[in-house]
Amino acid sequence: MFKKTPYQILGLEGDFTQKDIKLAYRKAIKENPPEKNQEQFTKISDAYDSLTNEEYFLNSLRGNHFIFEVSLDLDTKKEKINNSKYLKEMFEVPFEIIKEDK
Amino acid sequence: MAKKKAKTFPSKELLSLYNNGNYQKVISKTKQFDVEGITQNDLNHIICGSYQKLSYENFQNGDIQRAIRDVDSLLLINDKEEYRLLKLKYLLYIEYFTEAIQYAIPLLTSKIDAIKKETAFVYLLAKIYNKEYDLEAEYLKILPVSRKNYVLGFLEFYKDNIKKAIEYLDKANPRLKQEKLALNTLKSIILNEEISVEIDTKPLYNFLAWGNEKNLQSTKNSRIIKTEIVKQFNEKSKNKGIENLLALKHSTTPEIILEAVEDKVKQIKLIYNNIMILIEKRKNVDEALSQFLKYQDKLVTLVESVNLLYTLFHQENDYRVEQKLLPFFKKYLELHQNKLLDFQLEYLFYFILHTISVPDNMKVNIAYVELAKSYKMEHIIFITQHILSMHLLDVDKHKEYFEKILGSSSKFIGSIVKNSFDILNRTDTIILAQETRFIEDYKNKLYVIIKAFAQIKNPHKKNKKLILDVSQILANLLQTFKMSPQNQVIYAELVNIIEHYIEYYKITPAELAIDIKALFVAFSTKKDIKNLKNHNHYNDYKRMFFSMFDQEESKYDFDESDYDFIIYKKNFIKHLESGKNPIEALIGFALMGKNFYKNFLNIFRLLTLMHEKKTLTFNFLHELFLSMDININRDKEIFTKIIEEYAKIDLDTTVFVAQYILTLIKGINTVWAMNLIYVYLELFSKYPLNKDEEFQKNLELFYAIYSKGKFTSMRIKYNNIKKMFGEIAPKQKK
Repeated sequence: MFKKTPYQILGLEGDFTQKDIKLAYRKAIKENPPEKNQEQFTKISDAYDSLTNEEYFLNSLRGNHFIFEVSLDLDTKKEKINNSKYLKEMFEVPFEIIKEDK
Repeated sequence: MAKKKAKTFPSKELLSLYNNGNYQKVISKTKQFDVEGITQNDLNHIICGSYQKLSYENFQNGDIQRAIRDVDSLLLINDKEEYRLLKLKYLLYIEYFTEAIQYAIPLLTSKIDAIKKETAFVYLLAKIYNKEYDLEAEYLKILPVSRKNYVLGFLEFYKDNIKKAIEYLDKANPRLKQEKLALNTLKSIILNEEISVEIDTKPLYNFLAWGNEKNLQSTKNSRIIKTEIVKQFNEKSKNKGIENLLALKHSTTPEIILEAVEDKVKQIKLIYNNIMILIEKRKNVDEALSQFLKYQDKLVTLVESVNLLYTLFHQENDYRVEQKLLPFFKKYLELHQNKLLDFQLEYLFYFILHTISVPDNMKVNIAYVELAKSYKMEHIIFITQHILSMHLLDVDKHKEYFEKILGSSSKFIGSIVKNSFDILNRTDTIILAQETRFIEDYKNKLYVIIKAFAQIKNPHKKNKKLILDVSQILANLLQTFKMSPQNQVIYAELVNIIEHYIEYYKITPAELAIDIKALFVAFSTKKDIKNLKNHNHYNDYKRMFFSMFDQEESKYDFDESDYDFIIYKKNFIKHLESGKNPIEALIGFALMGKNFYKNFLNIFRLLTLMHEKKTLTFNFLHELFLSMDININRDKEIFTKIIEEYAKIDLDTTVFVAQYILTLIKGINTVWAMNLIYVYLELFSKYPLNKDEEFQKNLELFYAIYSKGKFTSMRIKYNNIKKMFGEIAPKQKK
């Protein structure tokens, strides 16, 4: 099961300390109170617990595949391959007319 | 001059070549030799068959020029319309459309309907490809509906009327599944749609849809187009790979990530994700590990990167890569130590020392151990390696680590300590089979561990279970060695600390493992009770096999109630010392277990203590028997046995207790009463005892009962007593 990494959920990357984990958690739950977004609040709490509570930490290692959420501006507008153009230039018999004589 | 006769070739061998698919050889043999034993017709049939197969094979392999040459050879032998139709199709494939149109015309008037229809179909397609869009209605008319719609659809497509083309193609409804599939792919290509699922369809469609060149016929156009289209597909697959990776659908190659993504941090995150996908989706841990090792320098900058290793080694932990990962762990700790809490560091070092590094690779292991020391993780080294290898440190060091481990409430630490001790626990079955020097070494190390353990007075209150587990294992291991006078000190240390824990954690007897109970009994009785003769390798297997049975019990010549007796004994002595009635300390003892004999033997041990202190009286015994609900009529046979047995251990107390018991049988003139007296009297014959007044009284009683009852069954015993103590008998008779 893929799950976003706890550090990423708390918005932690690069240089930070244990103290920053606590601060990041407080900030995150302040911005996402349960009445506003219960799902996000649970995610934040779980992430924090799995970084600070031994039992949660060990449980989170079981069966969870932590991944990063990454967004990219891929150059998806690149022209698609115009296969129909090539179809006109290359012959293909549509039905199975080339058959081995029995 | 006579013409040189060609060599001959047997027809059987020719047929064999044909049947084995060696068509090229068939052709060459018929050119070189006269084939004997076959008619010309049959030979032609074989040659034609061979050319036909060869041309098909060449066509399938994309070499249409050769396929046409084969058909031309075929036509030299037999100018059948069927073969000409074949050549016509090849001409189309080789994109000789004008030639194809001309070649088709004679066939369009064929008398064979199937040939005529097939030719019309190919002829019309050739015209479309040749951009001659005025298709003859007479030929369209003879086509089956599906083919007619196909040709019309294709015509519209060439005229760039895509909508109309699709309408016709929709009406073309071939019967065969493969043809339906091909038609759908064709429609997708015409509409320039994404074809997500790769299917096995016509080579050209495969190529146009996914860039797959397999079986693509090699023609002038295809060669030019192929280069261009393959280039485009490569470009596309890069994006596709990244798209799939972002959607966590599929892994890609790190090279594509590095090429397609400019942002360095995103590159690393995507390499990380890619490895996770390899593990989770593709279960390709080998590739995942190899990517990790290749990009560890980049990955190490992420605090999450160690998760990849946890996940990887959870799947499979038999990788010999410990050396390759050493720089990673060094750098990782350097970069991220401040982000990790103690338990995370402990877990990381447990993982390193338990999973990554193994002590048999000494050089690397030392490097990892040094790394652990530099992060003050000696206690993890102690748990993962020292306990198991019984690495000898001094008692103080062991004590320090035990204090740290047992003073911590960490469940994880508790569980790994338990695991290590569990493994250690198995060594008792093998150590005695080793050479003496190993046994001595093992014993010394064990003593150091026990001595250190015995100094831990205040373990964490949550560690009751762990303390019990460790105590049990040490108790078991210690009892592997005979209790010599010098070993008694170490026994005492372990017994004392366990007794301390019993009070510290308020442990009840029921919570104590059999090994601990056995230790107490062994120490108290100064007897080795662990049954070492059963401990060999064979029995290990047997124990594993019969694990459903309580094998622990069989390790000892031991009854569990022995331990309970120790508790009663302790209280009994306390009562005696404090002047309280010691019988109060025994309340409940008689109710324990069903073995009265066993219980009474234990009580006897207490009586010995009292007798030594000259505090044992008939009144006390009277009270004791009452409190234990002892009934002489009911328990008589047991008493004969107790007197016989216990006399071997403590003769004085036995005699005293027996004299009390015999007071209970006054007025009972039965055989069992005589038997009881007999056992008592016999003691005076077996042992050098002073035949005091009590003895005289009981001897007289024996004779009195015998003379009253005239028990013939007692004659032998009566005669024995007479032999032993004869003179007194007549006196009794007076």
